[in-house]
Amino acid sequence: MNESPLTLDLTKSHLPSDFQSKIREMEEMSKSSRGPIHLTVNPSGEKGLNVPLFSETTSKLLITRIDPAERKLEYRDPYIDNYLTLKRYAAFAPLSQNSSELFVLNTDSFGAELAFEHLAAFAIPKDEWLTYAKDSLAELTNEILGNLLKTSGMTRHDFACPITIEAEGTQIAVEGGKWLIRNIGKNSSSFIVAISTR
Amino acid sequence: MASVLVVDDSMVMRKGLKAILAQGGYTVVGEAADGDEAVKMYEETKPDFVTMDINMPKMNGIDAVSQIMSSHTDARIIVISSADDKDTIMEALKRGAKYYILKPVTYEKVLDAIDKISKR
Repeated sequence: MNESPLTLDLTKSHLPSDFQSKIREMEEMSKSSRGPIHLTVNPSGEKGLNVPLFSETTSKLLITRIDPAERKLEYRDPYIDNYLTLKRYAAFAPLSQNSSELFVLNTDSFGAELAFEHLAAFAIPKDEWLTYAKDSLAELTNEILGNLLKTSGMTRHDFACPITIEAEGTQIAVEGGKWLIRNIGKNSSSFIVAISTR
Repeated sequence: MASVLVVDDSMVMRKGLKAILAQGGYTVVGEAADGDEAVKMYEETKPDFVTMDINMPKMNGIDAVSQIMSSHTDARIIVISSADDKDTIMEALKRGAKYYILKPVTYEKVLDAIDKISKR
């Protein structure tokens, strides 16, 4: 098994389909190596993103959307780390046209099932959640980010389709950057909201 | 029974929309996962209504609205999107969409949109 760091260049992923292909490539890389994967992203633009504020609002919106009544999820303090360790399902989305910031909504089966219930419980039997787990997490990410366009200063053009991969245990780093990570969970199950930052 | 073409890159959203439309008495005559497919399927199925997601790979929903409207000026397209910004909404309407729904999608929102554009 290869333990050396692997790299993936996202700097030329300007089209949504390019970004999706690269993230799928990462899923494949994770199957053949246990080493960390280092992502190369573009430098931030002039405007830049207020990452702490974005993390805060994203996390609150996530709770509002998927856990509005029961308050099953606990909201934990954010922290900064060089590596993001992926749980079972991880939805990736760029937060700018040139992929200078990345958003990851990372969760286990518990979170994927909650995402499914939020989106489709009225239409699809609950026991089919596994079939739709990856799709549900991508769509939940899409819904959350889309609802933040107005407040974040982003435009529709900054915003590509999220894509979910399964790469449990894989460590992801951003070259020259770190992750701002926020854990929202219940017991050992959780959603992890991670945003790359300089 | 009126026919609907459902356009969304998300399988779970398409399935949810189909359930809502069936409950409302509509027939889904086709499903498309991106704008390119939507334009082709519109030509094939000539539906009474289209539900169109915006944020999709390949051709996005706003460009698909333009393409459909360029040859079918009477097309009745409802844009369904997570993008909560005025510019996106205005652009979709300017290109010819008849109505705009913000996600999350509900039974009431979808059927109310169809009802409203049917009465115009």
